Amino acid sequence: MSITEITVPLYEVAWLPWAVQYFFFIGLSTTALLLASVAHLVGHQRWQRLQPAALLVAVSAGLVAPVALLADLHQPGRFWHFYAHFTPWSWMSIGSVLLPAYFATLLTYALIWQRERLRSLGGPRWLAWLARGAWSGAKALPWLAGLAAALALGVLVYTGSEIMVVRARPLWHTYWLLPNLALTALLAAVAATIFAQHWVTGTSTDDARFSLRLLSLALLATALGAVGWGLSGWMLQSGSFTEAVRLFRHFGYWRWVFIGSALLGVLGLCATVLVSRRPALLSRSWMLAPLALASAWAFRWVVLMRVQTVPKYGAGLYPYQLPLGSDGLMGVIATFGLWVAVFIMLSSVLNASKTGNLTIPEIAHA
Amino acid sequence: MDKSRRAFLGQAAALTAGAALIPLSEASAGINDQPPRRGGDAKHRYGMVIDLRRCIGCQACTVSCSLENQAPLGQFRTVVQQYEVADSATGQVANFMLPRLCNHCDQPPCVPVCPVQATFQRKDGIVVVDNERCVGCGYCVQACPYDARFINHKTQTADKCTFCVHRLEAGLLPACVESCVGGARIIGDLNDPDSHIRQVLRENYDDVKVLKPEMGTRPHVFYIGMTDAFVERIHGEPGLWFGAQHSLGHNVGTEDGR
Repeated sequence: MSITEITVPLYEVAWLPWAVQYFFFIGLSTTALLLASVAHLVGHQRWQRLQPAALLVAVSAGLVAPVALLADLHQPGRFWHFYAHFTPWSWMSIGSVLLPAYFATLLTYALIWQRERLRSLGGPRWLAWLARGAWSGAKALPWLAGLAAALALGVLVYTGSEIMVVRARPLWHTYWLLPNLALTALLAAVAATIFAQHWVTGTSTDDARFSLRLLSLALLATALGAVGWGLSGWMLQSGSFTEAVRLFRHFGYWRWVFIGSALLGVLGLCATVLVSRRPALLSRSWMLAPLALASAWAFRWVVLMRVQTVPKYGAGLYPYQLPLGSDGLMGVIATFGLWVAVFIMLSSVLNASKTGNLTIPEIAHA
Repeated sequence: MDKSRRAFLGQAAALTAGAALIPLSEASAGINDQPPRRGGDAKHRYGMVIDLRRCIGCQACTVSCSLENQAPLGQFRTVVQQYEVADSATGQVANFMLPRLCNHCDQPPCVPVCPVQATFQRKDGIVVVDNERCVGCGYCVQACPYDARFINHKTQTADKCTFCVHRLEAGLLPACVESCVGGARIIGDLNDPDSHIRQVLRENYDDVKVLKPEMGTRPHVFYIGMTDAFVERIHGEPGLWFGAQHSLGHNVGTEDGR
């Protein structure tokens, strides 16, 4: 028996590219913050030198994420309904509490950290307000780092679970989605940190080698996450794996996605090994950042957007054409643009101390 | 087994059963559990039977629903999907009509995901959306395995079939039921053993199917006269008009293995 669809409606995507931007930036922010917190709490010098760059990534991405999230609501003006009608059995509602808590803790931590930095290294007059007053928040910093890290883990758990619980989409309905979203985010965060170290906070050969080692670890962990999903799915015949096999078998697009991801992973590993073996290339390891960031972004694009074009009931794949307006290309470009702008602004704040020409009492009593 | 031991086991069983009930009566729901139903009358449980042997695919239900509920152009609360089925042995071709709407499941996956409780299930089983509370996050649209929900382009909130609850409460039939020329759609109270719907279900007991039973949603739209090939998902050629209107190359997937 063969079946041909004659009259069937086209089901649109309900989550727009804004969702991809949100999951990208919040993943980047939380995993970079985890790096910064570990760096803060470990206290080893290599880690300490990594911390400002990681924090820069965490704060800049953290500022962009909620903007994208609000834009993904079709009724953004009603966001306060989340707080008027708290719903503890919905992951999204739990997220609506975790996200602002994470955001507030992250900003408090970053502001107090920046204040301490200004107080110890000095800074320009336009930042004097931040160092004003005699109080020191140094003692609170480790606690804030710990709290922010705990909330970052909470955000990672909620963002992954939110998608994972959707049984109607077999590709999403796997516990592996949580580690795989977190690990690809970590990969992007380490790469962005390397970029920030090179271009903003400054790096030595030793530091570059250390960061590159972290990048290799993140890459290996990401590969293990992918292999783990495939292997366990094959052994247990999980719904998400069998659906992936079906898509791979029948659709050229999905074959391209799976083979492309595998090739990208191998390419990333080779590039990382190559850079770490050649001292001459070490200072250029920041060039790996665009590749890692693009991989993490593409993973979210496929998971969130392309999976929505797999019919839940119908045959074939639904067509999806990226709109050019704010619900599509403009939204993607705008959020990246916002990130670049915020990144540059925060970089100048971070670097203000390096070129500082005022002493502590001067800026404190400006 | 001696008496005292049996009595003890009986008591232990009662205790465990009691313990299992506590969370239901006192706590509301764990993460992604069904929250308590609200509104409506618990005495009734509305459901629908669709007798596919009587459906001629005229789309009268689609049109009357659109007139009644004013869904924007191109968006539907109910629609009759039409398929061409060819017998590979004889080459004979037949048309198959499948009216689709919200299944008003007993375990609706769209309800617990809603972050603001805008969508909820009434005590009579009808799943509705409070579109003044809905934030348009689209989470329920993702969670529904039946594609029964959509983000209404006009209201920018979640929209779906309500079994025309406003008509039911006024003693009228839903628009789709009233306009069905073949009498294929039957709505009624499943709690009433003498209702027409119960009678039809009894008479066709061996031929009653629901869509995607493996999802564990316990749908309350029952199909009579459906072949197994349509229960889970369609394995076949995708909609003809996709190719015509959206010639996007790789985007329009065809199961090239078939």
